[in-house]
Amino acid sequence: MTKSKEDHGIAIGIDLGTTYSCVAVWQEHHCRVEIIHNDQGNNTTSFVAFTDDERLLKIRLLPIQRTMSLDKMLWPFKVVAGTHDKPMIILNYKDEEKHFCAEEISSIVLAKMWEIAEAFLEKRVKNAVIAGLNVMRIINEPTPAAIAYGLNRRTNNCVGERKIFIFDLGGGTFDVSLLTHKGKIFQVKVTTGNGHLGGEEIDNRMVDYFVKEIKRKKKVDISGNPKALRRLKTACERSKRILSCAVATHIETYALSDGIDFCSSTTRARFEEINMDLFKECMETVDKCLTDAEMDKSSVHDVILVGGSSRIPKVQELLPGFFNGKDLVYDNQSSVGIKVYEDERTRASDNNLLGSFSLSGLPPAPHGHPFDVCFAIDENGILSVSAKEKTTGNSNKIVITNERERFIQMENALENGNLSSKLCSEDKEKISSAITKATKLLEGENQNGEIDVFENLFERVIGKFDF
Amino acid sequence: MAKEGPNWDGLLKWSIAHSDGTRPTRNLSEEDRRWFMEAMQSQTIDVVKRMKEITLVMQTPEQVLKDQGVTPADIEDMLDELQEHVESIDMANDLHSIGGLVPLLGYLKSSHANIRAKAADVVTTIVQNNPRSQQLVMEANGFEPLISNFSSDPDVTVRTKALGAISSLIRHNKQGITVFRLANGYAALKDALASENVRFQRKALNLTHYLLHENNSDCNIVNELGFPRLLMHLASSEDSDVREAALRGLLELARNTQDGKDGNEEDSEKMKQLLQERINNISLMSAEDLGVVREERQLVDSLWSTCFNEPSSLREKGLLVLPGEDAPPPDVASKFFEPPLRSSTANPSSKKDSNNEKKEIPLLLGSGPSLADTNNQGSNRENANS
Repeated sequence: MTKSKEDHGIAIGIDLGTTYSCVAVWQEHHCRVEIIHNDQGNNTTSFVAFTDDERLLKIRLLPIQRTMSLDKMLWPFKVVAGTHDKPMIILNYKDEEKHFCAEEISSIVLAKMWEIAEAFLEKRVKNAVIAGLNVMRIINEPTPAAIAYGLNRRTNNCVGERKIFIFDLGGGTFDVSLLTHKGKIFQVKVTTGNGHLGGEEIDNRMVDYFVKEIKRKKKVDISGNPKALRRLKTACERSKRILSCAVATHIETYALSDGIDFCSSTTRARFEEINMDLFKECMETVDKCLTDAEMDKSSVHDVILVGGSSRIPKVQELLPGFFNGKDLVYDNQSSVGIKVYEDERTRASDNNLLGSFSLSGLPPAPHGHPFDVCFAIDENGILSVSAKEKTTGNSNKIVITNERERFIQMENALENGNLSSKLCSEDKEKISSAITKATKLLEGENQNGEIDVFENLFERVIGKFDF
Repeated sequence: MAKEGPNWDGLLKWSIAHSDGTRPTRNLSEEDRRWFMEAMQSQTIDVVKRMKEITLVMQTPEQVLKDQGVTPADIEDMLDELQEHVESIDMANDLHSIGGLVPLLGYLKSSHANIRAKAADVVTTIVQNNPRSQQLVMEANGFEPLISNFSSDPDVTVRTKALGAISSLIRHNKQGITVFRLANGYAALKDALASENVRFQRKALNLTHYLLHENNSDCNIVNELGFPRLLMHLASSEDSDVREAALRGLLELARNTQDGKDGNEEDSEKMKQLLQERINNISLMSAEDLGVVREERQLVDSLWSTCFNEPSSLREKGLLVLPGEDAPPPDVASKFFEPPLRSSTANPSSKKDSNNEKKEIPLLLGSGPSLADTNNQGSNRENANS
C-alpha cells in the first residue's frame, strides 16, 4: 500500500502485519529505502523534559500508582451492524457517542501512520493536507515480496514466464501465493491461506504445554488466570526466538500465581514436536495452492519466504523438502548460522551434528554472499571450525574436542525423545547403555588397548540409529 | 511499529476488509477525527509514554523524589509496573532507547533492599532470552552491581534476585559466561547452595547445571570446590524443585567425571544409598505426587544407569514411565489470546472450537452477516499489477 504527498512528491510504503507494521520511505540522498520500525528507535532524544513545576511532577507521579492494570486493555469500542448490515464502530468518550464506518477508520489510521513517517522525515504538513492524502496504489501482498527480492529485474533467460511461490508465515496469518512474472507484469494466479495460523498460534502451543506442566508440578491451574497466561506467553515468545539458533532454552517466570515462581526448559526438538501439526498444515496449504493452480511443484522457479515465523528452522527444513530441494530466497539477513556435521550423507541433517555457532552483526546481504570457512585439525585430532566475513572482519569459531561430545549428543537426543516414537523401550535402553559404555571407554586410560572393543561398540550404536 | 497504544494495525486491516468501495463516504471532519484519536488514546495505555515517565522518575535524584513525598514503596510499585511493560521483548529493548536502562541499573545500588531486589527482578525480565538487551546490559556494566549483590548483599532476597538476573543475563551469552567465571562466580554459587533459602538454592542449582552442560571442563572446577557433597545433600531436600535440580547437576558431573580419578568407593556407596533412598520415597508416592516428580524419576534412573551400568529398579516397579504421561496438553491459550477483530475477518479455521470462540466474543455484535460475505470470497484471484 502506497500513499503520496503530491506537493513534495514523497511516497511512503505501509506494510500492515498482524504483529508488526512498517512505514518505509525512499531516501534519495542515501539511495536506499529507510524502514521506520519504531519511533523510539529513531527518536532516542525526544522524550519529555524535566519540569520544575512541583505540582505537575506530583500529578505525573500519581498515575504510577497501580490504578491501571494491563489486564483491562480491552477494546474500547463496540462493533455493530449499521445500515445495510455494514459494520460500524461505536465509541463513547466524554459523554458523547459517535459512529464510524470502516472507510473512515481507514483514513484515520492511515493518517496516523503518515504522522509517524512525517516525524521521521522531520517535515511538517498542514492538517488539511493530511486529511487529503492520496492513495496511489494498493498492492496485493505477494507482489511486494517478489519486487523486494529484485525478481522483476532478473534477466529472463527463458522465453516463457517465470513462476514464483510466496510463502508468508507471519505473526497471525499464513498466506501462500503463486505468481507469474513475464516482462514487467506480475500476475497473482492463486492465493490461499489460513487467517488463524502464525507465530501467535505457535506461542499458544507452548503456553498450553507449560500450563499443563505447571498444573502437574505445582498443582496450580493457571488456565483461568489471564495475567499469568500473558506473562507466560511473552516468555514463550522469547524462548521461541532463541530456539531458532539454539537447541535448548530456559524459561523462568516470577510470581506466576500466588507468588509461585516457575522455571523450566525446553528444547528445539520438543518445540518442533509440539507444533508439528501446525507445520504440516502449512505444507498441506502449500500443496493445495499448487493444486488449485493446476501446477506441478517442479515447475516453480523461485520460492520466497516472508514473515517472521518463516525463520523457524523446521519450516525452513520442510519447505525445501516439499519443493525437492529448491533453494529458498531469503535475503537481507544480518547473521549466518554455521553447522558442523560429521559423516558423508548427502542430506546434511542425516549426519551427526557436532556443533554450531553463528556469525552476527553483518550488513544485510543477499543469499550467496561469500564467507570464509576454515577447518583445522591439530596433532591431537582436535577440529576447529572458523568462519569469517570479509567486509566486516567478523569471525567466530567452534572447537570439536573429541568423540565424547558426539556420544553425549546422542544421549541427549535420546533423552529429548527425538527417537522415542521409533524406539521401543528395550532398544532405547540398549542404546543408552551402549553410549554409556562407549563414553567410559573413550575416557578410560586403556583406550588404545581396547580399540577393537570400542569399534564394535561404536558399530552397535550406529547400527541402532540406522534401522 | 511494535504494538503500542491502540492496535492501529488491527483497526486498519479490519476497516479495509469491510470497506465498501462502491459507496462514497462522508467527509470526515477534523473535529471528528481528533475526537476519535482522543477516544482511542484515552482508553488504552501508551506503554512507551509510561516508560518515558518512569524513566524520568528514575533519572530524578533520590533526595528530590523524597522531597516530593515519593516513598521507597512508590518506587517499588513503579518498578513493578515497568516490569509488566518490559515483558514484551520490544519494550524491553526500547527501554535503552529512551534512556531508562542505565538509571534502572543504578537502582541496583539503592540504599533500600526492596528496591535493589525489585530492580534486579526487572533486569531479569528484560534480558531473559533477549540477546539484544543482554548486550546492552553488559555494555552498561550491569554485570558488576549484579555480581556484587549476588555475592555479598546482606539481604538474601536481594542476593536471590541478583542471581536470577545474572542467570538470565549470561545464558547463551559467551561474554557473560566468561565474565562470570573471571568474577569467581562459582564460589558465589557454592555459597548459595550452602544457604538455607530454597529459592536461592534452586536458582543456583539451575545455573550450575547450565554452566556445566555448556562447558564440560568446568566439572573439574566444581569438583575441586566441593560441589558434589553439596549436591548430594540437596538431592535429599524437602523441596521437589531443589531435589530435581540437584540431581540434574549430579548427572552432569557423573557423565563428565573421569573414573578412578576423582571418584572413590566411599562416594560411590553414598551415591547408591542416596539413589536408593530416592527410589524408596518415590515408591511410596501417590499418583498425583508421582506426576509432580516426573523429572526426578527420570533423573534418578539416568543417574543410576550412568554410575552403576545397570537400570534402576524404578523400571521394573513401573514407576519410570506412567500410562498417559504423553497426552498432549489441552488448548488453553487460544481462548485467551484471540484478538476480537481477527475473528470477523478470518477464513474458516480448521479448528473445531473456532465457532465457539466467535460466539463467545460479545463485542462483535454485527459481525455475523459480514462473516458470511467473507466466506463467499473465492480463494482464486487473477489480478494484474505492474
